Order: sequence, then C-alpha cells, then structure tokens
Amino acid sequence: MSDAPDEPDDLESILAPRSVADSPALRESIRVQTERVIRRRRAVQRLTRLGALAALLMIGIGLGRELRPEPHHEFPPDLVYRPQVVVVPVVVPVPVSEPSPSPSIEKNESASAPQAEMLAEQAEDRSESARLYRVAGDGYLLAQDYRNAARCYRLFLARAGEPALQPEAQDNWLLTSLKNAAFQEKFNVGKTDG
Amino acid sequence: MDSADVWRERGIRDAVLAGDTAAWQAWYDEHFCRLTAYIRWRCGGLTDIADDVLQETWLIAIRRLRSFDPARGSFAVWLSGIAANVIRNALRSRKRRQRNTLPLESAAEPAVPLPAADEDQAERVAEALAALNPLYEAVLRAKYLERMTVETIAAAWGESAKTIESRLTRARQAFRERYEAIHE
Repeated sequence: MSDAPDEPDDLESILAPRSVADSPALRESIRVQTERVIRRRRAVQRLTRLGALAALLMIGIGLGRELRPEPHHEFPPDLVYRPQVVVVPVVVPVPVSEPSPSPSIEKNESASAPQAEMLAEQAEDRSESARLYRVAGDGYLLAQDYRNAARCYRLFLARAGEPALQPEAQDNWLLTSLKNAAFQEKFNVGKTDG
Repeated sequence: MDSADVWRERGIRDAVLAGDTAAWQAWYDEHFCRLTAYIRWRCGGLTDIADDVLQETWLIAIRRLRSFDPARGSFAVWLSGIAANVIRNALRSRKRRQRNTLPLESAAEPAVPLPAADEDQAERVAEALAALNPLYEAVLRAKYLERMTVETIAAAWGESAKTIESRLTRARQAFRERYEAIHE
C-alpha cells in the first residue's frame, strides 16, 4: 500500500499530535463538576419519587373521602335551626273520678264500703238496697278497689232497674261504662228476641 | 463494538443515571485521556480553547447521558461527536471575538512574534479540521492522532485498504485546500 513509512507526508508536521502535559487539576475539576451533576440528578430523582408517592397518597385519601358514605351533613352551628323547647306549665283540668255523693247517700255517709254493702244486702226496700249498693260502689272506687266497686255497681243497676240505666251527669267513669255495657246487653237481647 | 461492549456500556450508563458516582468515575478515567488527546488535536494546539472544550464536552455528556445509545456507537464515539460540535462553536465564538476586538497596536508595529505564528497555525489547523467532511476528519484522525496504518484502519472499519488509502488521499487534499484558504 501507499502508506509506507518512507513516503513523504507534508501534513505530518501539522497534524501530528503535540505533546502537552496533562493537567491533573483540570481533570479533577471536571470530575468534581460532573459528579455534582450526577448527585443533583439523584436528588431530583428521589424528590420526584417522593412527590409521586405523596401525590398518590393524597389521591388515595381524596378518593377515600369521596367514596365514603356520609351519615349526615355537618352544618355550622349558626346555620342549623334548633327549635327551642320552652316548658310552660299548663294547668289541665282533669276530671276527677271522685263520685259525687248522691242526695240519697247522706243517710249512710259515714258508713264504709263493706258496711254499706252489708246494709244493702240486708235492706228490704229494693230502692234503699240499690242506693246502698251505689254508696258501697262509690266507697270501693275511692279505695281503688275496682273489682268490688264494679260488683256493687252491677248490683245497684240490678236493684234500681231500667231507669237507673239512663246516664247522669254525676256518674263516675266506672258506673258510666257499666251502664253502657248493661244497655248494650239489653239492646242485644231485645234484638235477638225480636 | 460487539454486543458485550454494548451491554457493558448500557449497564454503566444506567448505573450513572441512577446516581452511581463510582461507575461514573471509572468510565470517566477510562475515556479522559483519549478524549483530551482528540480535543487537543482538533484544536490544533490552541490550549486555551482546548481546555474549555474539554470541560464543556464532559458537562454536556453527563447532562445528556440519557440520550446515549450504546447500540448506535461507543461512548468514545459519542463523546467525540459532542466534542466536535463544541469545537466548532468555540471556533466560531473565537472568530467573532477577534472581529469585534480592535488591536491595541498600530499596523506599523513589528511583525508578530513566533508564539503568535504558532497560534495562527493552530487556529488554521483547527478551522480546517472543523470544516472537513466527518469521514475525512475520521480518517485523518486515525492516521495522524491514533497513529494507525492504512491496513489497521481498514480492518477496524471493515473496509478495504484501497478504499481507506483513497479516502486518506482525498482527506489530505481537502484539508490542505481548507488550511491554505484560511487567512489568505
């Protein structure tokens, strides 16, 4: 080939590399600068990863809040209407079931319910017996002995007859209900017979 | 470059990109002398711009390391490409500065001393090399900087010695024309 060593080459003197002493300081300086770039890049990568993780966490928290069913909406206390309950004592007239003494009781007013019942059983006069049974019923009712009171009121209605079934203003609740029951019974019996 | 070298350089690149300074230091030491020699040769001996170019080349390389693909060429070739661009830019800046700067001495002053003549020649060499076709520049580099014979270049490049010889002749001619055209 024509690349023989003895071939004259006018470019050799121009293009041959010149021996220049290496500069360790330059080499070290460039190495430090490039390593700084690498460290900065590594720091940025870590920050980016941390940022991505934080963003994912925030998205997760946000989604969790969005998807969680809310039991009720919370409003500021000043926007919520709260009805104020004011307790006002109201006097309500309650009908007292205290039996009003019938005019015919006055005679045995001081007698107790069992005594009145006893007198009613022994009375020969039917109307007197009825009156005493009513007094006994009233006495039992006052003592809250409803069973005996009902029994005495039934005997009173049996002795007094049909006129006693008419409701009266002074009748107490038990006597009224017994009168109604007796009236219904009588009505139903009449209906069946007819 | 065989596949083992490709894998090796890819591994080093990935390690450096992950922040491994030890891998970078080894790679840097492996290529520093060769790149320095190339830059100084390309600068024709203009040591002031050669040092700047060397520093700029390494900084560009580390910043753009992600774009380095070992499958397309070795790290040394990639570094040389960066250096060639930096040298061209540096020479352009140098010429611009010289145009915009007025000489302090009058034209009647004595002729420039010898170091200035050397600098002038270095500048012409650098500009002529920068203006060359990359193929011509590569063959001149192999011949004059790396001191390879035509046969060695042909074997390394996978071409015939005749082709390399022909290319070397054309490269010399092109260089000579540009070298003589500068400052005439």
